[in-house]
Amino acid sequence: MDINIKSIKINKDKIDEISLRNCLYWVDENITWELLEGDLKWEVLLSGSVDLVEKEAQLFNININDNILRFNLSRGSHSTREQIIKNALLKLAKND
Amino acid sequence: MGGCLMDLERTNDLRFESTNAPDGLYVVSKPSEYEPHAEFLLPSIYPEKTTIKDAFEVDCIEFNETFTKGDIISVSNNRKKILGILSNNAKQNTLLVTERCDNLCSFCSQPPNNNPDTYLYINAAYSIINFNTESVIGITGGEPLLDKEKFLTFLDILNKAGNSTPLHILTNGRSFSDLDFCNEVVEKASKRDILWGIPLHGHNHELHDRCVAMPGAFVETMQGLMNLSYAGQKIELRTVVTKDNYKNLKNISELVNSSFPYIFTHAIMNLEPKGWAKRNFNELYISVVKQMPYISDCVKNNTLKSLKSMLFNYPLCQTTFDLRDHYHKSISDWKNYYPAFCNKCKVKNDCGGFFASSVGDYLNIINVEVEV
Amino acid sequence: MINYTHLPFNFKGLQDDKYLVSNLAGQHQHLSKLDFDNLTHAKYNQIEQKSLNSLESKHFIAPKNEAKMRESIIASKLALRIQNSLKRPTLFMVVPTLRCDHDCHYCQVSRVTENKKGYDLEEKHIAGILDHIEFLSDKHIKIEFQGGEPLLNFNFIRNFFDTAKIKLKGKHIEFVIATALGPINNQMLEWIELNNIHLSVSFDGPEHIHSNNRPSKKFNSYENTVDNIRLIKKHFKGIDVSLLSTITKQSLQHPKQIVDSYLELGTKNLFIRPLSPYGFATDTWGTLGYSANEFMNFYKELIAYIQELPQDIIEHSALFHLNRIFSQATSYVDLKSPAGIVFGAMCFDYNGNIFGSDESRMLWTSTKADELIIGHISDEPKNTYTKPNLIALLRDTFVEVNPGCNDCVYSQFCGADPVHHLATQGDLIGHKARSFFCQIETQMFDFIFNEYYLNNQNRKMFDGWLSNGS
Repeated sequence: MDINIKSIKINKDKIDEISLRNCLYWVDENITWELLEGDLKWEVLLSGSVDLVEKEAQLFNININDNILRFNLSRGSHSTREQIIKNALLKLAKND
Repeated sequence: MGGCLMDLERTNDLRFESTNAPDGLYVVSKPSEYEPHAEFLLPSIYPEKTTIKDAFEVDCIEFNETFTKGDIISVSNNRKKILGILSNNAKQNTLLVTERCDNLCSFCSQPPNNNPDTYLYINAAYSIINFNTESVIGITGGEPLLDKEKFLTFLDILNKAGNSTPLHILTNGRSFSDLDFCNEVVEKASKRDILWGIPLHGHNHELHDRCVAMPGAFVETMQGLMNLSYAGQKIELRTVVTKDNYKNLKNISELVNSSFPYIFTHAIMNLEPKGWAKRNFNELYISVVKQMPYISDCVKNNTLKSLKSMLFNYPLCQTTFDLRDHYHKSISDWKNYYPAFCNKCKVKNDCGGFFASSVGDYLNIINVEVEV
Repeated sequence: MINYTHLPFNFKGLQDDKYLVSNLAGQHQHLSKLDFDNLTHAKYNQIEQKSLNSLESKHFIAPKNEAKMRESIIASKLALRIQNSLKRPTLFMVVPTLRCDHDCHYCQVSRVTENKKGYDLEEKHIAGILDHIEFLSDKHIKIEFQGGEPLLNFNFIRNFFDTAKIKLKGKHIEFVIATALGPINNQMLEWIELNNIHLSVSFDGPEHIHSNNRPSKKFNSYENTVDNIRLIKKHFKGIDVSLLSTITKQSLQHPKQIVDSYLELGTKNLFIRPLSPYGFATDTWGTLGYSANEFMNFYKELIAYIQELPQDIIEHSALFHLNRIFSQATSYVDLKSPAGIVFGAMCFDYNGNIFGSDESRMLWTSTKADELIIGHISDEPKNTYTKPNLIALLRDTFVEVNPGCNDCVYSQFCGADPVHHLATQGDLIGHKARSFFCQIETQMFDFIFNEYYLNNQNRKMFDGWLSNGS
């Protein structure tokens, strides 16, 4: 089996570590990943079979963009999901 | 087409020849089985000579055709008229409790004024108590909940007399944005079955506030609906369809289903050319035929979310077949009118006909097809 | 021009460059890429008018001064959804026996042979079970007999039914027997028809699939199933029989034949169930199992075939998902958050153990993990439902806050399956990227949403199913 290693670099000002790890959460279990932290960039190394690495790298990039969007959206939103969930649970508690 | 004599299904006020009854409310021939506590008792009136103590008489030709034992009527001596307030012969009984209102709907069928209304609340309460029915009585205005104290007092009087008549109360719901008031009403309302008829004419403030001509109405109505619906009260949401909102009916459905728990029904209502609606008819009215596809989308969305839809004030001949299950023969019987061509119609008995106020110009605007 | 802001929502890119957004009010909207970009870049007034109206009505966007009110509304709607999931259980499963006359390859309950002693639920427990049911439930309940083969202990069923009619008099009860119809006879059928009892029968498809999946030493299991179903339809028309098909690797090549075999039986209701990958030895899963992708390829072909056919067939797995999307219905206990354990269903096993779901019973069978046991039938109901592991089951099954679920666009329609994750990964939440349950559900929702919004014919078919009720 041919092993391929793909490197993906992302600027640190575009995404925080938590969001990055949220993306790594979804990487296929047959891929080995490594997260390296530089001064200005993150580097993610994905290694596995050629086809799988290609596919997972694409999915990973989509996830990164989605998470960047999520982060921006939550900043622009009037309130956060957490606040709404908390309010919902408070309402539930009051009802009983 | 449309004679000058109104073929109304039911008349509601009569001239009398003479009476010994002073102005006020009366029960027609005291019903023997029921008598409320003396504090709430109304005097009786008979259409013939009577020797019963404290009872009154009235000489009126059509009395027995119109009223029956147990009905509540009011006597006006200077107009020489008896007005039916609550009748066992009526298909539907409604009481007006105020003419004051905090909305100014462009299609208002009962345009508001600032006339004193305390006596209206009291009279309504006493009428309901003495009528003592288990059928639903409608409460309307103006805005019945505009004066919170008066409305709470109205409920208190009914509760004190041990009355449990079910009510259908029309209100814009804005008073319920006050959560304390809402909770108080819910508590006092627990003695009876109440259906709250609350209008929502638009899916956002721009549209709704435009229809009711009152900035801020949408937000208050939504807050009121939220408080009331999550308190478990039975709500009939009402939408009057006009040129302004007919394309957004589905959005109103989406809003309701995104916001509230179980809503009892969504009443979709055709415009009645009465009051301000008559004055603004040309600006407001959109033909039933044009409304139908949008009503259809709205009803489909409601059904998907298990919200019951009901169509009111539509002629059956113009209601598309997919909506026939939701059709309601609804015009109150003293406003019904069937033009001459309806006599040929096979489904006339299932149809609500037209508003009496349609006679004249308005029938010409409505293009009717007769199902023969 | 209205000054809009947006309220929190989840999103996902779907087929044909479209996007799906969903929110905590349980609403969703299908958007073009342009509308999605405008929405996510705060160019609200550039969104196409119809989409804009819908987005506003569904609380994705709001005028800035209304944001607070709408957040309160969304919180109330979320509270309502959670509350509905916390209602008293409505499904009660009773296992009259573990004895069975079939040897289904995918059986997950360690069945025993027909004559083995010591595997029947004793009739002395009937009163205790009814006490528990009475304690836990509201007015409307469903009592389902499972096994093994419940009809092998028919006397128990009959006595249970008679006693329940008295002890649970005020309740509205629907009785179901899950059976492979082996022991059925006319006497049983008359009793079943007279008492309005429903039957739930596994029918995996044509003979080479059904008899392969569900062999029996006693008879040709395909013939036994088909002949009995035909008999019931002909002579016992008052009995309502629901059929379901469990999909194994052998089924995957034959979607059309499975549908055809249902049509041949004269039924228009199909219920396709994928296999759960636990409770089996590893090599058994190798023979029977498949990947989520393989299942979905099969399923898509099946739905396409159904859509082409002139008959009005309803596939109920799709319908459950549609109901979850459009009305957040909670009648399907497998797709609930918080999980349907205890709050959706209860299971009374042949040995007197009480479980919070059928899956827990199955998992206990293979792992003997005692923390899955809620209590025993002989315990007092009021002392039974207070174990700390029940709290964990609740606490750990809220999709809104679970990793892997909280950002998912399908979270409000999907559910938590804690037993599945406990079985396959060792904890109640599990790593969703490795979860067969998550893969299947994600692909199911992808499929349903794509078809609903991009394929007019499938949309019409789905709308027809939805309006027929569920």
